Amino acid sequence: MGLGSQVGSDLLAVPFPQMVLQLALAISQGQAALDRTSIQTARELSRARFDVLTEIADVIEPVPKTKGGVAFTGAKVTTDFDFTNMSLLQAGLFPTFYQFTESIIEVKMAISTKTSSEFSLEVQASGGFACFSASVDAKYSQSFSYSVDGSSLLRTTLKPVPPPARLVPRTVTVDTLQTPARVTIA
Amino acid sequence: MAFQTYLVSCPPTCQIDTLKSVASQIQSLGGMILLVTRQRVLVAGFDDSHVERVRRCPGVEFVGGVTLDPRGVATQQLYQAFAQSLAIQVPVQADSQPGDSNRF
Repeated sequence: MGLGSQVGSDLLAVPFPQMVLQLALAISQGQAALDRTSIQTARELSRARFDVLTEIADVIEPVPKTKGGVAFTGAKVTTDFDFTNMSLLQAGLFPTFYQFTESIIEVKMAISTKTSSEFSLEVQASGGFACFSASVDAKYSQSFSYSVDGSSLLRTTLKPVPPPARLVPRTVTVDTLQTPARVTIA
Repeated sequence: MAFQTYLVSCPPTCQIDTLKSVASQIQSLGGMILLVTRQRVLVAGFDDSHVERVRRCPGVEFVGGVTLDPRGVATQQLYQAFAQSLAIQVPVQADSQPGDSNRF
């Protein structure tokens, strides 16, 4: 197998589909857990009660007085406080909903190859009257190294979002002071 | 990390001392108590990195993030209640003298 095809097969060996699948599953499980917590928060908010001062009524009544023989119009102010006991959810405290808005999978690979070859030749010869000898010493070495380093990064962004419309209670106000009674749905 | 508002609920039958203990633990983590209801529910503000620590506090049953809806029926009253609670918890940072009445 050539070097190029080995690098290619190493790149293909990155389990990218599995990584995407695992990230998607983790996000969906995380999202479900976050939604469950938000719904539980809504339940707790509807359990907790809060006294809200909804109306202060000032009633001014004339109280005629006389001082030093001079009559003047005095006034008596009666203040009436009207408290309404409502849940924190009714009062305006909502559970925070979160949503995974962006997810990134980053895979980094560093592939390095190194090939080195060495060739050496040594020739030795000696001669005399009757004999002749020669030696040849040849050396050939080749070294080859191949390394792959990889790292992966998974990053998700979690942002608070407005509560789903279906979870926000409707406020129906029936105003019987008017004729006919006026119904407002907010 | 950011300071966020949370609902911290304790069991409805828990003693008031448990509620006080939870409140003081939140304060020891740099948090603020914004509201406490008779149903043993606290609304507190603290750094979101401390959520798990608050969740593990003895007596805490549930912790969940909350947001104040600006269009709520009693948002203004909730704001006022939160502000009053904060006013007695936030230390005065001004150059107050030992005899000053506004010193905590």
